Amino acid sequence: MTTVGTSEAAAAPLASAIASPIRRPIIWLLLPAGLLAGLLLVCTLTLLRISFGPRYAEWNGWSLAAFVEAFSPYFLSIILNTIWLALVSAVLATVVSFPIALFMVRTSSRLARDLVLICIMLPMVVGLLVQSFGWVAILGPDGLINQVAFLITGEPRTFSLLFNTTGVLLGLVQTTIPLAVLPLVSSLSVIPSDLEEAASVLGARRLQTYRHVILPMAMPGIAAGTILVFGFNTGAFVVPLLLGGSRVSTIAVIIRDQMGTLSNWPLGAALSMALIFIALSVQVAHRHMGSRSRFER
Amino acid sequence: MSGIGRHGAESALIGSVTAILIALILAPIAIVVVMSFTAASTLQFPPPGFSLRWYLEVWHMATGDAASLTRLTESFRVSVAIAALTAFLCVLASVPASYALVRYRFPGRSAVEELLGLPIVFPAVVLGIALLILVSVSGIEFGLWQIVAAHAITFLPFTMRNCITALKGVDPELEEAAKTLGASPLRTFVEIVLPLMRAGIAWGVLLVFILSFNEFTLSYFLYTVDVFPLSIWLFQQSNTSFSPAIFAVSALTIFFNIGIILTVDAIVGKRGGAHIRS
Amino acid sequence: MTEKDNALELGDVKCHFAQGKVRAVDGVSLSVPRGEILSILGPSGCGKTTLMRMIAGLETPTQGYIRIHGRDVAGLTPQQRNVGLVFQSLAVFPHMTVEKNVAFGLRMRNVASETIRAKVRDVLELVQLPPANFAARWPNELSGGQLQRVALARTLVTQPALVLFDEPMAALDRRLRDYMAVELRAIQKKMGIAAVYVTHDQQTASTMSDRIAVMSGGKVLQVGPPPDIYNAPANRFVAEFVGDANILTVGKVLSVDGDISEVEVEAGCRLRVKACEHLTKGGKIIFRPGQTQVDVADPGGGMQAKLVSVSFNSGFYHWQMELPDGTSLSAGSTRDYLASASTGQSVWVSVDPEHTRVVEA
Repeated sequence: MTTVGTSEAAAAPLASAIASPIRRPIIWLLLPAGLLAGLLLVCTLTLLRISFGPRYAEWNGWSLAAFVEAFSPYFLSIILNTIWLALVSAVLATVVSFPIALFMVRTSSRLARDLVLICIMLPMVVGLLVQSFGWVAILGPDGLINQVAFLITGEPRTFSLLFNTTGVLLGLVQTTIPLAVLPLVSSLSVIPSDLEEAASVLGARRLQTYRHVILPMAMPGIAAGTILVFGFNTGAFVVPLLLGGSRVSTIAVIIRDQMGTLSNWPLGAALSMALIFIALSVQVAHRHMGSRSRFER
Repeated sequence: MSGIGRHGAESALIGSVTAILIALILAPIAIVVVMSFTAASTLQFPPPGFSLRWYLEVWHMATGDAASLTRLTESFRVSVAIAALTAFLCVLASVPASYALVRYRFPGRSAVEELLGLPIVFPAVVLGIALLILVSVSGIEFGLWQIVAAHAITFLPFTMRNCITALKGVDPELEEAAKTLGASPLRTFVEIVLPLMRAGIAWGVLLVFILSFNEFTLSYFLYTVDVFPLSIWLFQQSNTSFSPAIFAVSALTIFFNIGIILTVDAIVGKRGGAHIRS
Repeated sequence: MTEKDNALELGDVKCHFAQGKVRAVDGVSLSVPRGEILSILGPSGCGKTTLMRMIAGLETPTQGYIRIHGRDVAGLTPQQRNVGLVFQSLAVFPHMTVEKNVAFGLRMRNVASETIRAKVRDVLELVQLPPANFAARWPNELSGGQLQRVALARTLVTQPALVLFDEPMAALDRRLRDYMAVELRAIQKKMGIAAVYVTHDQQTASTMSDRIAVMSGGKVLQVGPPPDIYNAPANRFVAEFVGDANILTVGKVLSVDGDISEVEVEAGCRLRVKACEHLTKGGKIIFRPGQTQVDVADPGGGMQAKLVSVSFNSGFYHWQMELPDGTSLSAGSTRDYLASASTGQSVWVSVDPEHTRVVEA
């Protein structure tokens, strides 16, 4: 009987001891990262407030004018054009990524795999500013492509590739390829090779194996990569700025114009909200894909 | 069998398609490097001859009498300072946060994970403008810290991911062993967890340093007359005088990036590999 | 007085997870006197590892007390308990040399570096890792057995009040495991530190411990010296887990004659067993194959069974038999009693009543 008494007495302080100190370190551990993430939330809320304010009196009154203007035909066409560019670049990046990812998964040489990884990461890491000088030299009126075309056809300046949609698309695809390749590699590498062998033993031709075995199993990676590139490119700013001239406008570019030279803060903030909304949808969709691919593993 | 032959042809096809695509992906960078060695004073491609004259020109810009006027050296220093501070901040935030996420189960854990992953998709222009508004409303001079804050927010997910992966590779039993041997939680962290995470942390620092060094959009909104990063310097130069010297500076930043990668690889790759059992 | 003599004392220790839905440890009371090795033996998931982690302070008991050398350790963190733990994974720090690994605990106690160096050398000698050859080596250059010695040295060098072993030899092969078990016991006796050895391997447990505690379902079923556990299992689970056992169910008690009584087992035959309080219908009669006799002719009081298989291994003949209702029995001996019999033939199985034991169903 006495032993039961002691054991309960000993257990009581233990129970209270676990509840508090386990929580407190977690808060401290998360604090620095939380401050940075919190600043992001403050930024979002600031723009949200401004978007509902009248022009030149952003902090005082309330108005829906900015949102009405943001969805007027002119700005709507730019929003749709941005989404269209992001979509096409996402599809192109995924198509380009597929053979690269296949190579990375199948090669037995570790060196080759690391080298390819570095090569595709390089454009993203170096950034478009430096590369834009290279793009101008390739795509420009007297650039590499037009010189080659001149040698073949004898016609000068056949292609106008710079400062239009084509140039922008090329830039958008080139800088986001790692975002498409990496999820593809992770979903391709979990396809057991005996599954492919089983398909070929069962009489599937290679193309059929691709269509019915490899492609469906790579689908989570394809979807995740496409969504990521799409999300990244809806916010495109440097590429249209440097390769699009003033002819190709995206949401990010007109936000800069409204916030800067035109000083229409509410409209810029409202367009920012549209961009954030797209980004959040992408995050949700990507999370959904991620959990599905994890589930399939 | 014919199956094997077909497989060989298939991998040859994939290999050559990959090679062509990689060549196209690297084309702009390659051309920048090639053009930086041009002997001509125009942007003619291919260059009529090769020389180091534009590197010499850059050298004069950086060290000559006009150095304070061109501000090249100053911009480089500012960019390095911003990149170093950003990398430091990101690691400072990521190491403890990743420890909380990997080692503890707590309510709201997935929400925290989601929030810390958000900057990856958050549009840089929006962040840059919002910070610019906050800075001007506050009326405080933040100097280069306004760019550092923006970079730290944006690149936090990169160090987070590296730290989480590194921490998952540290067997929790090693920490428990240290504790039963008399180490306090802090000492366990410093003596056991941190050294074993070293490679992951180093690669995170490297990645964030390089990304921050080359970053343009956020700097574009947040630079000031006194804080003038290299990327902004390049952008302004390209708008005013488009000479091959810009290519030389660009090529130098590429070499700088690659140099850092190789250095980190040499330090972390070798030392880390010797100690950690596979 | 007795409390002071105990290195470890557990009183009704419980550990429940998921709001009491999972009862990993469900009321364990044990004591380990100074200098003793106690093995906690049980299948995986029986709660033995959780019990050990609670002693080390890595898990918090839901209820009960843990005393180390008479001191209640509730609320003490692992580093305050002075309990050594040798992990199943060994947990040798991969980024430190052998010397640094062994010195770690002393360093955490702020021992002077001269003393550390001397103590590390001594303990490396003790575990037969000559410091000249091993002190500067990295863990990835060592074999499994050598890593084991490093983990042991690292734990012993701090002279803990108690050492816990969490199946550290599970990864070693049988031969090395047996060798290490003998050596570990010798080292432990030399240092005089009390130890708790957790394992699912009854052979290791028997080789190295003074007493064995058999655990199942979060409870301790029986505690005792290895021969007692083997010869007088408390119940069917212990009998089957510690060595092979022939088990028959009591059908009807026919007669009692002093210590010995005759029963009819459910399989249909009659058997003379040692009487005890569990000798009622449904009770289990247990006897070891090594104490089971076989013969081609009825020696009197034997059970007739069909010979199913014969095997020979390491000097022992092993026979597998089947009673008419399908119950299987086995027997073993160094002499080939059934040389003239062939499989499928009828043989006679008998056991000295002294070697039988009847336990609860």
